Amino acid sequence: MSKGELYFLLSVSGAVSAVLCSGVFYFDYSLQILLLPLALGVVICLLCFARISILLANGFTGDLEPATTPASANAYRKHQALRTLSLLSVLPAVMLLGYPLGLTLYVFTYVKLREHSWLTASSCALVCLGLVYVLFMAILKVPLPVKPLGWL
Amino acid sequence: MLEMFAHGLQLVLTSDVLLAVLIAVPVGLLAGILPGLGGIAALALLLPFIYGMEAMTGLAFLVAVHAVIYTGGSMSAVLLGIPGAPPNAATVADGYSMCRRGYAGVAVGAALTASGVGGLIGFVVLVALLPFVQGVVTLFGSPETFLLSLLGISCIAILGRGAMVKGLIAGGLGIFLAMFGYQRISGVPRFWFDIDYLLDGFRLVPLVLGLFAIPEVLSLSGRRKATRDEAQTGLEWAQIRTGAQEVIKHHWLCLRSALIGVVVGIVPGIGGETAPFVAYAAARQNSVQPDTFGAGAIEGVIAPESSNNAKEGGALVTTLALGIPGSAGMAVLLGGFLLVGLEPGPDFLTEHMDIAIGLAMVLALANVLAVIFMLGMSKWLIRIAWVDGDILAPLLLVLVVAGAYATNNNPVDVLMVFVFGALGWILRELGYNRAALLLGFVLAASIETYLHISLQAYGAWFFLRPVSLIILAIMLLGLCWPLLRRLISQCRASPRP
Repeated sequence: MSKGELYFLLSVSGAVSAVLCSGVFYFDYSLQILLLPLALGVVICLLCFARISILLANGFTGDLEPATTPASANAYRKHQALRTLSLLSVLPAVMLLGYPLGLTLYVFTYVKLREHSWLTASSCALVCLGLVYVLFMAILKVPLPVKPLGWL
Repeated sequence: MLEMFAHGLQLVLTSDVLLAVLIAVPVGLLAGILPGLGGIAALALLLPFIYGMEAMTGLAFLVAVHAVIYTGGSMSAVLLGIPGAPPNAATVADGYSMCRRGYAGVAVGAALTASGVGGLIGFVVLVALLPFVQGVVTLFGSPETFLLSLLGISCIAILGRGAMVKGLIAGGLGIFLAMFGYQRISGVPRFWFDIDYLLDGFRLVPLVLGLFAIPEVLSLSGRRKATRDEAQTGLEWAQIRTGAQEVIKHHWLCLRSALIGVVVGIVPGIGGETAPFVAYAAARQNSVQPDTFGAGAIEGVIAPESSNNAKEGGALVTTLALGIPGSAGMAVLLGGFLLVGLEPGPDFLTEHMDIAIGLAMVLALANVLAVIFMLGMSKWLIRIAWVDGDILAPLLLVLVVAGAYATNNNPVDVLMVFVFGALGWILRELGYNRAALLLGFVLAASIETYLHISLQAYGAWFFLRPVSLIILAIMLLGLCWPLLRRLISQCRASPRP
């Protein structure tokens, strides 16, 4: 059991309590509206505190594997974080460039940056373009934003 | 009853439904073959596509995909030693051993045939049980439906992976997330914080995609492909035929394993991974040569694969009749029901028995088509498992992003996918049951509605009805079972005076 779980449980109970307090003091909902959320919120907070007490009673394990050094663990975490961020760059790509161009460019750039050949990256980009245009826009008739900044 | 069968058949034998099944089968097989993608992530990815479809067409598509994922997963299990989906893990031990010894074709033939036969047995049991269950669910009123919904969430929390408290927290959080937006009864918007998007609450498709697809795609990006040295692709037709004949030779084993799968599938919350392992253990126990298991015993392939596909028939019984999913995949399927405007539960069988029977027929059809398709295409389809995770991950993310936008043409849905993706990743890393959260979200509307009706009609003591008391007792027993088990073992361990 890690400290991460403790922070998660505190966040959940804090968020649930904050939302319920907003319902009581800010929105001033009637009891009929708030009955189930209040009951649920109390149960969730009680369960979170029960789990926290189990965590505190059992103690915490370290985040590092016994055989790893802090330096290698940090390097690994940095590498994982960079890979995750690069994967998630799809969101700004579609927001800024539109779906067909943004997704195609994203796939091409990501695959190339992962040390694959130009041919592989281009093939993946073509597959992506095919998926977006043929499957979503032509067959399913989804009006994906085509222009850059189309969401504005 | 025969009339219902005829109606069900009529629903299935339409061009839309048949086309949906024909497309769903290869898609499901491909999703099963890809190690790391998993059945639930694949269903999550496909959920946006059924939005706007006719109810029967959309549900037939999802059921067909779900029915054949494990058939595809058996290929990766046998040929690469990597289960395509978690329930295929039981096939790896003997299937991969046979492959390494040069009997890949026999293992593949046995796995595919056992999968098809198991799926058909699941269909037969489903169709046999549905009329019986229809009679039972007429005893359920609003209080019983409310308590059944709570029981469903508790089952998944109690029997699923991880500590029970974690499962209950996830389930409660799922119900809480569904509280945002317009309340069903009064129409008052709750907790919308002056954000227009929240007036309709959080949407199901971004939640499902975020919880199940995003974490798997992130994991996939770190996976390297299996090397050609590890993969045996020498599939000979003669061997495949021999494998199919082995299933006929071990017909009692196949039947018993399928029935085990059906029973495990019916019990809500246990999940798909358990059935094949239980069937494997039973096969080993009853074998005349139990020592051969794990080293290439054909029974070690037939038993888990037969139960894998049969369990879907059992899981559909509780999902359709009670609105309680038999597995996490069924929880996603429940979401699919809501997307097409249907609500599974006690009323579903009385109002839509023809759809239930139609879906059972789709289950059978999909299993048969999957076997035929795989027997013909397995040699080439398995190559997709060699694709690098770094290539698959961005392409799957394209499907996620475009699919999320496609449901409501709302860019905020795409953003919410990543918000729920962060939540899904945290839940997975901390060992929390994501299926329980999804189930809570899906059942929240009926929980609130039936609670309101029960309080109005019967007052605060609505749960004192006989059937309600039984359901409540089952729920409390399940919740208290870990404590009871500890007390019993302590009593046994304490020395006698």
